[in-house]
Amino acid sequence: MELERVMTKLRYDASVSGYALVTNDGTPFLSFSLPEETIPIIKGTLEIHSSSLKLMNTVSSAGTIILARIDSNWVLVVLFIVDETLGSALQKTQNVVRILENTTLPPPPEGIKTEKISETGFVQVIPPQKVDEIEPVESKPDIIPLDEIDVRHGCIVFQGELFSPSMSTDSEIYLELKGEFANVAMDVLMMVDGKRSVYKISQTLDRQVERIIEIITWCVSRSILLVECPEEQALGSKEIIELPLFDGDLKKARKEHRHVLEQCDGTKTIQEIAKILGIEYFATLQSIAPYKGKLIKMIKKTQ
Amino acid sequence: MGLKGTLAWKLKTDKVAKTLYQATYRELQNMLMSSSENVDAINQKMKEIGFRVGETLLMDYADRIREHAVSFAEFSKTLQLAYKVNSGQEFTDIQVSGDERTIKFTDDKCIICDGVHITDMPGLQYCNIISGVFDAVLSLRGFKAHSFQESCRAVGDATCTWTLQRTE
Repeated sequence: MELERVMTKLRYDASVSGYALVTNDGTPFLSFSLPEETIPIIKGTLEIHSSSLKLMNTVSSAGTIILARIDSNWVLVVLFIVDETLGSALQKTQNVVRILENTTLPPPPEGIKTEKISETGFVQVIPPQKVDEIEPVESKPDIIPLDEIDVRHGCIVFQGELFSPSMSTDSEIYLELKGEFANVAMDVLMMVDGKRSVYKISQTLDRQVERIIEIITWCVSRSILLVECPEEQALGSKEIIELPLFDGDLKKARKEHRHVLEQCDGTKTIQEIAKILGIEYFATLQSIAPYKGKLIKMIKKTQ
Repeated sequence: MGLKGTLAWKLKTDKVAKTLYQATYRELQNMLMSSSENVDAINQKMKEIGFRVGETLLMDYADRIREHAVSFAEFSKTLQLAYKVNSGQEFTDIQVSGDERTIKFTDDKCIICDGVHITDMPGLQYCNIISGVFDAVLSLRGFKAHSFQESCRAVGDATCTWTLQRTE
């Protein structure tokens, strides 16, 4: 499941007041509605327990905080409403962690330690990467004036030349970025995967699109990010076509229609299905038509 | 919508079958795709089509709109009525910015792109015909603004959003 969908699930759970993905030193990222007063509690807990943490709870005046390790870099922190029972809070958090274990998580900024938990339980702390291990940028790219940059909601965002240094907590550009936009900027950088558009990033982070445009424009001017806008999105040969998808119960469909409905898996057009079954197009359509709007979905996509 | 408007919609407004409209719109999009160099060109062309469509739709209402002496932000109600009369749909939400220079309309159940699922054109404003219609209405009223579709269910967003930004 994509990271966005997991975060949306949490956001819409009425028992969840807030959450964050937290690094081993307690720095929150991709956070949503976590009250300020919980941050020192989370940091303090991780300072003591980071190396042995799997699933634990701690208490704050805002409610129960559950901390659950996802992988060697990340801990999921969820703040539950005061009325939620401990058992339910632990279970819900564990369910989310199980999903996140199969999700590709972005790497945290460099300079933060990774926990390595061996199977025997012996804990080995890997020290943070030093900044001077990263190749210094020989000639820094010029700053592009902000008014020469046009970032819009439909532009896809890519990593730029200075993306890696900007994710390194000791670099000059990281400090500049953090000074301008605080933690939101790091959340934005972590969402950059060469597929998400500006709008998608704003939706995932639950931030106003205008704010995200501002941050990304600044990052483009500093060569941290690149954007590909709709004028640059080439088309090739594309067409929207209908691909029927039957997601109902075949047993409830009429016998004579079942062999056609079995072929409706969202990947074949009606013409293709007709050819596979060796029947006429119109006969195929007649087998699907009684179920349209009830059980059959027509997925229309580009080729 | 009030009683008068509801009755006008039910009894007096001519209607067209949804499947016919959606299929025709889809083929129009296909034609634009085959004749455009990039995604932005499709967006622009669909908006221009919307503008001309809007001009036709407005012929019966032109005088009433011209005389509608309201502010840009209050004009959102006129646009809401235009959307309802031409699609049978209500907007799910209307948001006006604090400085009243930006209006955002959303429709969680947009009928234009209902069932459409496009994964490889993230910048496509599939329902941009609506932006063009809005442009025509605003131009008739004398407001200088530009409009675009900010989010679209066809490309995987949660809702369809059209944004109007005042330029003067």
